[in-house]
Amino acid sequence: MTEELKVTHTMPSDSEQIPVVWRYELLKYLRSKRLVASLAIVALVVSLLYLLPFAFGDSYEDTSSEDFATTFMGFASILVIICATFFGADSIVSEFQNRTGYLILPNPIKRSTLFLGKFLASMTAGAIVIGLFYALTAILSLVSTGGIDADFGLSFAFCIEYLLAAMAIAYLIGTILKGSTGAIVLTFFLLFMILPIVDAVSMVADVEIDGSLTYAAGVITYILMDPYPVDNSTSMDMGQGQGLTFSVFYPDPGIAALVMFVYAVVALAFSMVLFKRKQLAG
Amino acid sequence: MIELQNLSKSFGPIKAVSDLSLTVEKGTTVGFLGPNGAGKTTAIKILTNMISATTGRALLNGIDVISHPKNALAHVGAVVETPEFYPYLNPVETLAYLGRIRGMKPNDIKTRTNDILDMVKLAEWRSTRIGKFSKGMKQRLAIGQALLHEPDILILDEPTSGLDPRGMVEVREIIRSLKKQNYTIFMSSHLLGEVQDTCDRAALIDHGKLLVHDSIDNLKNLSKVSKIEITSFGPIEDAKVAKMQSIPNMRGIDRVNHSTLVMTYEGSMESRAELLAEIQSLGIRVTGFSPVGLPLEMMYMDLVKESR
Repeated sequence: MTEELKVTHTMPSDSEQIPVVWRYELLKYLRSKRLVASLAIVALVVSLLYLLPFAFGDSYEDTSSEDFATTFMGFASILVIICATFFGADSIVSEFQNRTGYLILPNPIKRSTLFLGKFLASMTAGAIVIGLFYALTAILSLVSTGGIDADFGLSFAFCIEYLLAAMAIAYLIGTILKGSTGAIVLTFFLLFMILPIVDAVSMVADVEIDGSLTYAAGVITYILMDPYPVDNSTSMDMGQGQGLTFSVFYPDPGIAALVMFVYAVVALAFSMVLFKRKQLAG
Repeated sequence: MIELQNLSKSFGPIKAVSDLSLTVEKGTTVGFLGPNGAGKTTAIKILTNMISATTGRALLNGIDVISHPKNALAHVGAVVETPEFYPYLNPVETLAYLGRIRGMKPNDIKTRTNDILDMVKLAEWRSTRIGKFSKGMKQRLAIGQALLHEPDILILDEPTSGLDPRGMVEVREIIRSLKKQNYTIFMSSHLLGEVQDTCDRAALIDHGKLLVHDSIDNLKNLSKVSKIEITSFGPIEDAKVAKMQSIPNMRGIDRVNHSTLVMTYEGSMESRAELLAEIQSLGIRVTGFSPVGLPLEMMYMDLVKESR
């Protein structure tokens, strides 16, 4: 039996196993309807953004391709957060909480291989959703304004980089926490509320936090503006001699790209190490 | 071959496995026994790369599973507890996934999938998503996936857990047939009868420590205490029962009915023969004299009691 096995059964390399994991993880997103739900959200949001002005008696007739893209891309970063939450937050933790790890871990596959296959599947699912959003926006921009903003591709590149960083953060949370619900809730609120609150407070405090991931992600929309917006301060008279200075900062594209890259690399490295050390006990 | 070398695992202050050394020779079937919390599943989880060891080594076919899990697990099939399956996949897809991870060729996967699903009696459910399966069906599929790639080592943690009596019998038959095919099988179980029926050898642990590892035949004889049911022709008077209580090494007598007693007796097979003669000398007309309970159970109770 063993001799026969050695002839017909050659252990695949790590790089050959990654696509196998990727394929079946992607199938999970398809069959669990998370991917379909995300695509439905894209269709709904694009429809609303496009049709609502008509409903209010307005149109995109005199709108430039830059303004058109800027209007739509305000939703891109929210879509990234939805993708990270749907496809990344519980990808690792569910193997432990749902006990599917008892099936997959005794197989001859390194945890790092399993991790990379899963992460690539999460990124693929997210990229499909983001890609559809940009594709629909581009088509509508062509139809409505007769063109596409010159920096549209750059915005897409930044958006994919933000997806990479947000997904890595989601994976890190998923490897630290013990429950899927906690990982999903924390990922969503960290990226949707907690970090944006920090960004907003920093504006009031007149402090620019270059290292904030959500602040850096603002580049997805700002890169479409020509010229690129510059930092400014507005002072308001509050009466009785009191004044409030409110600063608006815009992330430098180069620094934003670096910040998102560092988040992605550090969070991925930590989450992979934690996953490799995670015990399937209890 | 499976080797555990001075294996220890601590969870904080709790030592789940303590300096455990055990060798399962190639082609043998070894039962892994112990009470709840003895460390059986922890040792099996270390062997299957689910948890790391605090100290010591776990070798599969001579390869350390802790430092080289991929190579060590290449020819191993495992069922640890009752695993959960991906609910969005059906049995065919699940076996294809695991087969591809192991580098099996598509045709081999197809052929083996059909064989396996027939063997574990899930052929008619082959296209049903596993999310709808009962625990017993999942356990059968778990055993099936462990056999998919025709491994030479099988590690089974409570393989009949969750199965109905018929399912238990079927799984034991599968294990017996694999035993004939020279598989190396390491199987934990709470069911002593199951181990006695299917295994060549048994290892007993408690508090993470190995108490004994020997052939089933030797272990059966290891127990000093046995329960013997005695039946007489006609009633056994209380006075005679009192006299029997004073026989050396008699640990207790329970009356089942007017003519049947169960004796707890400590002694060798030879002294049991003398016991029978002594009982007959009391005027009891013995029509039945037979041990009750599993010999392995007696050994188990003896050793576990001693270790606590």
